[in-house]
Amino acid sequence: MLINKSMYPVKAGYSAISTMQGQLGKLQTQLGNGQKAQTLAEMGNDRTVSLATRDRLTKLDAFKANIDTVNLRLGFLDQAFTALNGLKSETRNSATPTSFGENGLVMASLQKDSENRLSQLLETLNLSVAGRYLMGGNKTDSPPVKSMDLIMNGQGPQAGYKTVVNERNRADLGADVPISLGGVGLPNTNISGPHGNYLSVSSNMFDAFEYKLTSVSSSAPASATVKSIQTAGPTSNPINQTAYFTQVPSHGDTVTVTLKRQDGGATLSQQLKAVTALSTSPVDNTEYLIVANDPGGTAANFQATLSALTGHDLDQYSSITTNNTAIKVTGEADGADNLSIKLVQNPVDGEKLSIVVQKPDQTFQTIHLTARTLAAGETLDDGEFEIGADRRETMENLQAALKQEMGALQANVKTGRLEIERTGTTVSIEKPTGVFGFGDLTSISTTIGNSTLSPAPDPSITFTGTVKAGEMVSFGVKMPDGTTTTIQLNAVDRNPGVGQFRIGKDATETAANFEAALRFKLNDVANTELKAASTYAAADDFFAADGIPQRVLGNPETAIALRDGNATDTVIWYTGEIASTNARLSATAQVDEATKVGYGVRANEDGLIEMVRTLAAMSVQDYKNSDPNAKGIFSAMVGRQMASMSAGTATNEGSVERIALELGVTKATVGRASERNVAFAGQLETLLTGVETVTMEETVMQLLALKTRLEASYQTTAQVANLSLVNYLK
Amino acid sequence: MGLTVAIGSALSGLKASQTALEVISRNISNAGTPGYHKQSLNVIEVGRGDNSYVRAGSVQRAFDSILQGYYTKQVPNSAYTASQASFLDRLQTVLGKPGSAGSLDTMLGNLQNALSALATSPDNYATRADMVSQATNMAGTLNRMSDEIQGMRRETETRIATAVDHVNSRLTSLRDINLGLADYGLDQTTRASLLDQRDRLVSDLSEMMDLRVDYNPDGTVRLGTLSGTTILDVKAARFEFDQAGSLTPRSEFSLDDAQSGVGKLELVMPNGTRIDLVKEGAIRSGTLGALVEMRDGTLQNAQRQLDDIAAGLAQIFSTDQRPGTTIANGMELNAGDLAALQPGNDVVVGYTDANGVARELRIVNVANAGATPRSYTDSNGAKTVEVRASGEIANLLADLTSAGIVPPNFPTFGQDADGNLNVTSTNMAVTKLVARPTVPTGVGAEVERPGLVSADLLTAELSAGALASAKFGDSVTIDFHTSLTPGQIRLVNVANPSSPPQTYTDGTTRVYEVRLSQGATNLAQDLNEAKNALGSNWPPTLDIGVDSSGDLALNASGPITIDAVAAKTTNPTSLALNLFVDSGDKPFTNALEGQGQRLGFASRIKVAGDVVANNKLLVDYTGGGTASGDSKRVEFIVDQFKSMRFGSNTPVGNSASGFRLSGTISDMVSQTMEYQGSNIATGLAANQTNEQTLAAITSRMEETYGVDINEEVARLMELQNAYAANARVASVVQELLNTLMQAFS
Repeated sequence: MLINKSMYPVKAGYSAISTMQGQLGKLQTQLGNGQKAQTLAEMGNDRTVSLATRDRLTKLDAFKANIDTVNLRLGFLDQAFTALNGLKSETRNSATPTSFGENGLVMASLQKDSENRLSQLLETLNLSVAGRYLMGGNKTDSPPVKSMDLIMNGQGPQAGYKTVVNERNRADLGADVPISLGGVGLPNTNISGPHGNYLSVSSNMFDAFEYKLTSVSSSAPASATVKSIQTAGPTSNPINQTAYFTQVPSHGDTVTVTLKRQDGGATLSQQLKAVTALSTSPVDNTEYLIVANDPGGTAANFQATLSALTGHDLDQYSSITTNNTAIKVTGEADGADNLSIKLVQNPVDGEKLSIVVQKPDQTFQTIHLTARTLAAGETLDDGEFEIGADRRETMENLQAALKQEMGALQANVKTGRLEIERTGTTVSIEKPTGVFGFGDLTSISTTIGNSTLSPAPDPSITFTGTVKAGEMVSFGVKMPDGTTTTIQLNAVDRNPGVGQFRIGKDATETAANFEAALRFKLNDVANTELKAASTYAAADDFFAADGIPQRVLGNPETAIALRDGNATDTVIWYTGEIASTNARLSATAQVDEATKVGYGVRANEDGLIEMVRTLAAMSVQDYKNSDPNAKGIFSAMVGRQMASMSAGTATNEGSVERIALELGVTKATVGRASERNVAFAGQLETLLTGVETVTMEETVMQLLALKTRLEASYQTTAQVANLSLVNYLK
Repeated sequence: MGLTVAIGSALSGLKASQTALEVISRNISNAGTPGYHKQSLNVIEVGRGDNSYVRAGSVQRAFDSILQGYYTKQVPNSAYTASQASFLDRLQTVLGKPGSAGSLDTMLGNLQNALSALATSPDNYATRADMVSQATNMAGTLNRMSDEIQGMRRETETRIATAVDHVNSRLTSLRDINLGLADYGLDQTTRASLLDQRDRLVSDLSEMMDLRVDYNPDGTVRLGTLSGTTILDVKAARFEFDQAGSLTPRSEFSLDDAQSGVGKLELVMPNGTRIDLVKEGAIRSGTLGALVEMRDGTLQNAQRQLDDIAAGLAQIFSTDQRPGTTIANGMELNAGDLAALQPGNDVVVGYTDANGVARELRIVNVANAGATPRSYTDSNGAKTVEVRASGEIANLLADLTSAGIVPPNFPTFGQDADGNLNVTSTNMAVTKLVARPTVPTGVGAEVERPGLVSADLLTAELSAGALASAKFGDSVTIDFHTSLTPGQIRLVNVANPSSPPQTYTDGTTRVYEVRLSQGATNLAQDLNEAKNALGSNWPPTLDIGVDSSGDLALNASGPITIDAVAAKTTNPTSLALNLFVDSGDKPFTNALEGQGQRLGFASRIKVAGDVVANNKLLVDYTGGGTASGDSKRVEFIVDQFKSMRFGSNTPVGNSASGFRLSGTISDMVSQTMEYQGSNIATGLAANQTNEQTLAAITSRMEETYGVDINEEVARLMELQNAYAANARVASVVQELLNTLMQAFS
């Protein structure tokens, strides 16, 4: 640096030129890069503005980057929840209870469909964007839920859902209770016919215990001239068609009977005429004798005439209708196969009835019942019945023998861990300690006038007198999955179906019938609804929201408590974040100075876990047409599916709809923040431009002015420099 | 008048013209010579009556002592600002323009952006890697700036050394010139040129430093510093510069030679006396003044501001916030949180005073507070005291008292039986009580905190703080001797001890499971129960208990001596992270001891090696158990960026109106750039002003001393005519004489 200019003096004019040249260079640079100042010092007062503005702009840049990231993730979540919503409504609409479809098609396909849905659901829950899993709360580096195969089937010592369901089902249904068929009120038989000579044995309800009546036959000893015992069936068509009169017609009344053949052949029409005395010549075989004031007797005559007209086999007709409302001809049919036994006449000693029964182990057993005329002092052996005074009496004996023989067959009953006891006329139900099976009994009620009740939780009913048909007893009972069901038994005076009990001769018999019917009903409910509830309960156990699956403690059949499962013995289906905090806040982003948005989702949120549980439960349950309980289970399962997937769940905390809504709100917030930021950034950019950059026009003008001045200076300086006296001296 | 007189006059005229021509020719030939002063000839009329003739007088050298003085004063100023400007220009290049790549604000912005992205995607490796790389860039930027600044400081030393050589050689020359000028026998021309040389040397010297120049009547010159020290008077003094070698940020000027880390500039008087020019403040201007100012002031100030930024940056990441709990009339801070304070860490007490004004008191932890602890107001306006905060609470309270932190101006500081610090007041509201320790490196690492054993080995004490920071499973070990047999007792910290506490042996160590960290009362109870249950199995003359400060106190007598007592605790998990560390991966705690850890931190700051090796540490605050998408740590740090406020320890600039950085880290970066920018702008502007002033003086000198060719040529013409006229007179006289001679012959 040369400070002492006196050493090399430069004229002031020259230094002005060099200053101007420097300025020219600066203006050129400004024009080139548009920047007002090239260095920190040159910025002057703009420095503060520039620093502050840039600070804000940098922050806005960061927010923009965050918004881009979050929007991408929200976009994916949006798609996922659209899919989940679709899946939910599809599941909801896929089946309704008792709609089994054509040939049970809906029923048959439901399991596979559910499996597919579950697989799709799990896939969606493992949604990831660029390696980040979005539905595991703050655990984003690994899939939050395990694979379908692992969840369902387990791996090595780790039990999958299927194992858990199996254990839970066994625990809920309890061990088999061995019992004779008589204990559940089987067989159901009915005596009908004009002379009490028809006996129908219903095979209905046998299949609940996997028994089957496969054939019936009769034989007569060689000495007998006529085979007195006629058999037919098993058939599900009406048998033992019997005429009933509600009032005795007048002489000469005619009635037209329309008979439809079972084989679908031509419809037969017959006209019968009521007479007080049969015509003898010519014999009119369409006449029937009326018995005054005895509709029963008249009916017997009517039936005999109709039977003769149609070849003594009314059972070949599926329906017999009359144009007289006082006359009805009905057969017995309960939807299942029935055996028909008729006594054409009182049988003789040695005539034998044989019924072949298929047992649960698929073997056959033939029950022989032989007619016996008892001499004094003789007693009946097993498989014998006494020939009575008339056909009615014989038939009653046959019925009793049949009940004894068939009732002795052994069956296994599931009572869902409830214990039923009868003492005299009192039937009580008790729930032993334990969490499995039917839960607490919540209520008992009855319409039976002649009865007394003791209340839940240890309900009992005591029959005190005659019970009328149509009266009923019902219990409320809790199911393992937390639902409540009502078990109702109706009193009937005929063959009872499921949920019905036959009114006995006295209170004790009614109580016995009630006990049997209750046991039967419990077995039925246990195998259908309880099983469905148990499967759902197993889903609650396995797909635990807190990450600790519940397992049956000890031998399932005798277990009374659950235990915590662990990763060693049970597949932990969800490995994402487990917390009681707001799931949305498990992933957050700052999108604005003051706005922080949460967009986290946890696959174990209520709505999502409910879907997983339902679909998993639906996936493990298959419905075989051969299974007598299939339809019952189907209805119970589907009913629960509908409940958990119903549109009403949308308002629940953590439901698919709620999460989708909350994410939508987040997206809107992000959008608004983005708009604000863009607007703000725009303003700041403008400010910064004003502060930091030059106006081209201004710079160019300055440049021009400077150029002119510089040129003038050059010229003048050159001229002045040439002005020297020396030049003019000659 | 005779003809001879006329010819004599003509001849004298010719002679005078010749001499004048000589001067003019010298002027013209030296028209471009630097430092040449134009000369003029005095022509003297000599004679009496008719007989007068002309004689060439002395040759006059153009010289204006006032102008010269003015010049001598202005040159050092211009040199000062010019030297300064050259450095400042470079400094602004180092700092960069706001928004330019590599400038501080850009780097900080990038770091914050990376952090913000990390909060959104803590699970993304690339995002974490980006954060590490931005952190490395930030540290690198501070390192680079610091290095460049120190490079410039080193250059100042080299240049001082060169300048000193230059000055010494000029002084020697000037001394010789003085000797020459003192010789009266010297001819005029030589004298004039000596004077020219004298003025050149004086100008040259005054460029280096500000001088007092006195001109003696004989033309010799005396030089002295403005403070009066004579540099040259017949004999010349000698400058000496002892270069310090490589300057680092921690090499600073100090009045105490032992502590000064910079080169020493001295003046050695002819009689051998040495004067330290910097210490005396003898050099205030000139190139040397600028170099010294740069070295000790401007550049080091920039360094300190960078250090402040680096310190703030490190503390944002590494400072844990441990708030106290509310108690009646105030707040309470756990002893363990106090014990966690490292040197330089602080406790912040916020309170509303009796007038309803919100105030803040900062208690800074130092190892040795001295008799009167330092207390001052920091740059954020908080009253600050430097006391012993992390050790015995009694020391803390004593220091606070001696610093004058007592009611009625401050709330009352006290302790409870568990050794916790409480701050209470009946007329002031205590709003905030938070300990801000630097997190130790390594979550879960084991730390041993030894207690104090008395010299006679009979009593020992372990502070309540060491106990309070113990986690379950941590332990206290007591080593003792029974005559010659060594023994050891271990107290293991449990949440719920059985009653009496469970005891067992581990090898030869006796183990008791007691509540160490749940207050003095519980510990005392457990120890009592253990002792009672054990009866004679307890070392009989070893008494163990809890004293009034909540410390674990041991008293031994008889054959037992205590060898050592120590708490082994594990580092707690914390959201804070030692991302920016000092050299050797040492945490930055802002320790104040010595020169303070902060000085030169900008040149040492680096990204912790463990984070570079495993960038998961940026988000993992539990030592492996943090969920991948958990951004708590990042959010904590983002929040610290917003909420933590820092300040400079020392002011920069004029010490009277010293400027201190304060505020958030962003504020500090802005302030630094703003301050440096305006400082540089001022320096550069001053340089321009001085250049112009100098140029004005130079023009005046040009006018006064410079050779005007036109003038000289005009004078030449005059002389030519005069010479011709004189020659003509001589020739006419000759003719007249000839005519006269012919008339006689």
